[in-house]
Amino acid sequence: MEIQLQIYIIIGVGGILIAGLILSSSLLCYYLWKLYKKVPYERSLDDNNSILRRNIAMNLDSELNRRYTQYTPEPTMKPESKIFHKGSIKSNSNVRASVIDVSDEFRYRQNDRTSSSQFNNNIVLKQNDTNPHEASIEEVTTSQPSGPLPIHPTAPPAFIANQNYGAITESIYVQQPVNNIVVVGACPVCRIVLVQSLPTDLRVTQVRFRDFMNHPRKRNPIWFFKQNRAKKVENLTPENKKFMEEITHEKYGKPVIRKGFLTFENSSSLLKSEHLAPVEWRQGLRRTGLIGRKIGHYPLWLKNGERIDTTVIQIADNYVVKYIPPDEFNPTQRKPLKNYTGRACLLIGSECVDPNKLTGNYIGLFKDSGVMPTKNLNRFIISPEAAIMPGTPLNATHFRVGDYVDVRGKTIDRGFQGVMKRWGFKGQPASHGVTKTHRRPGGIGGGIKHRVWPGKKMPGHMGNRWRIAKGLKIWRINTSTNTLWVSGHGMPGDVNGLVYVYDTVLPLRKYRDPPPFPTFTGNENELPEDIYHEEVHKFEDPTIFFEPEK
Amino acid sequence: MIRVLQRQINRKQNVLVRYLSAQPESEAKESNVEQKILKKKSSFISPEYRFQYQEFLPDPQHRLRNSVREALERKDMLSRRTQIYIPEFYVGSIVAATSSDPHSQGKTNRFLGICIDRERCGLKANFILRNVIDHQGIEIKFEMYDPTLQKIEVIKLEKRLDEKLYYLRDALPEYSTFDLNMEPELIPEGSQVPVNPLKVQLKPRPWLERWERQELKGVEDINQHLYDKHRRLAAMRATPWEKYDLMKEYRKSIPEEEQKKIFSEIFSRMKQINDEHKKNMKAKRSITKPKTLA
Repeated sequence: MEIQLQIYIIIGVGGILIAGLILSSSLLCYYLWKLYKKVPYERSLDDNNSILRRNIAMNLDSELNRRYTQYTPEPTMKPESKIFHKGSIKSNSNVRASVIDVSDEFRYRQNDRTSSSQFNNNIVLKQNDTNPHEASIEEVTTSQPSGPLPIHPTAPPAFIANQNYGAITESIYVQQPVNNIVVVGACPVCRIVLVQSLPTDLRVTQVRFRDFMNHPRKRNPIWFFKQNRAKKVENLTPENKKFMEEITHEKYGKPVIRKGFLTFENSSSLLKSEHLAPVEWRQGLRRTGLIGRKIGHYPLWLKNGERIDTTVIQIADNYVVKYIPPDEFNPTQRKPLKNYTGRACLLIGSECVDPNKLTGNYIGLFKDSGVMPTKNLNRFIISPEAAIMPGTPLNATHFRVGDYVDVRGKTIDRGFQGVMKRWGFKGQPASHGVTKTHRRPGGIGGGIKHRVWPGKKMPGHMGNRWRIAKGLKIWRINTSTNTLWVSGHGMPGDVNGLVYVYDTVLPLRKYRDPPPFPTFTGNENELPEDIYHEEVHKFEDPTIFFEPEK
Repeated sequence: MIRVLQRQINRKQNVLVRYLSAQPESEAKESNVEQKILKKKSSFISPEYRFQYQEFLPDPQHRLRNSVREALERKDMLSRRTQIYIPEFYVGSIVAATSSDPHSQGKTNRFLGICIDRERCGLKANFILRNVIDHQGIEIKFEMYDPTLQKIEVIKLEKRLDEKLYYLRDALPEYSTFDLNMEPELIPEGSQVPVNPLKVQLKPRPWLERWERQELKGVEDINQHLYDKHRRLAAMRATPWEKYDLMKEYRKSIPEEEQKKIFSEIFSRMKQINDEHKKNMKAKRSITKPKTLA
């Protein structure tokens, strides 16, 4: 009895073990197979030794499509030959082909795989001679199949061309099934995405290169470094402190007050760089802006006796720190494409500081330009024609009297505010039986739809936001203090706050005549100290007396 | 902090001296000696400057200050002063201002009245003149550096007991009625500005403001217009400790060192401009005299 039991136990355990082994090995095989499936195929193609990189995504929604168009394959990847293996594009399907770059002739046929198919239609794409990024449909050939006819045998295959660099170049509406796609003039970086938007009988399986999306990584601009090494300079002995000062003064000169700002003698002139070849201004070119400080309100009087309210901006000791050409300029946040395509970037610093407090990384930004490290940095998006040599100081004469500017700044931080201050609500009566609701908003919703609509004006944080005051006129310029008198009191920010001054974007106030391009290059000493708009009354002029009209 | 307070105390003393000096002459005589010593200490810059040219002192609000803008403003003020003589006058003085208007071309308007307030500083400085014309109270606010302002004449240079005279709006009309053709009263140069100890009779309530809460010195027997309720509420809201609040005073004023800096910057140019104006005025007077005689 006992021996029998032991045998049973041994057999049972052995069986379990064997079953486990079989299970695990099959799982392993399955995963290996899956892994094998995931690895993109590689096959060299003989035609002109070029490689076609293609990727087919069928039945993808728009999001998947976008995902694919964003994906750029790595150069080692080879094209896949089994694209049409499991099916073909059926009739009445909308096919779109996207060609990223076409530079070499390449032909790709798939006759072996589709031999069983009854149709033999070809789409031939050809690279454009003028623009290698575009391809056009050259021919669409159909041959009468031997099998059953398509739904509309007589209708010719129609196609819609939609040419656009980097996006979908060709959109073809195929009324008959397509077996072959012949690309004439393909290249190593060619990619075709076929999308069938009509969800009719589609049998082509997806072939994917990767299982994950390319998430946008956070990538700071190159000038985002930690600025200050320490909050305070270490407890140095007076002698050491003096020694440190001497070193900075040796390099950058002694501190001087220039144009109303405390800077150093050689803050900009360490490198004697020449100006770039002047480019003639034309409509549509964008110049750099300047960094300034709002220094207060100032009344001016016009020659007709009218008083105007202006705000004074002091251009705060500006220098060009770096020029980034269009192909290197790759901002993380791409706003409207028209503002960024073909644009370069100019990094401008303002207000020189003692470099002893700064980090090495931050100081390194200024190394090439020879500019003394500055407290503030800002990038301005410009046309590449408006490039300025690094190291050039920029002054208020960059603008002219009568020009219009946009001023960007951070509004005054008012903290958490109620609706009366934040949105200008009326509040409620102070008396007549009103209790506890004098500054409250009242009803915020209700009625048929019981909810609060998004965007309802409510109490909350007020201010401390970037705002742009647009289309402000320059009435007066003082060249000795680098100040601009700009119309209105509505400029964002507090007195002594940083503001950025740009040429206006308002279409009716843009430049008609050429401004100083790329910036004022003449001799500033020849200009008068105060430049007034022709309508402005100068303070040293005689008192205004209105002569009677004759 | 202690230093600031000490400085403040010193300044307070100066103010005190100044205040005493603003009393009628008999009362102020005692402080004359002290004042002379102070004058010597502060070299050529007179302590009177802070009152004479009060609009040259910037707004003490720290948030609004910027040295570059203030310097630009001072420069523009001086260049405007080359065109118009802005004499010394105070709240309580009787002033006539002549201005031109685009709607009355070829003419000028002259308005005479008592200065009830001088507001703001820098190029935004202005003053309000009040007069009663045809039984109708008229107030006009003039901008001091407005280029349409042709002339400022001081008819009677004096001070009143209060810093602002808005209560004249609720006073009997005879206190703010002045003849438009008043003869100017000239005071010898360098003499102290007299303080008019006139006390004004208010009209019965209702008033524009609660005058009983403002501790006015220039109002005659305000109690006759008040009920117990008014007195009680006024006593409740009184802040008698505020005159001892040195920090508050400090925040409301420009420190003495800074004042000296400002006035030493403008002193020579200002003197030059004023001398030129006086020369021109003398020359004009000598021409006009025979006409009046004839």
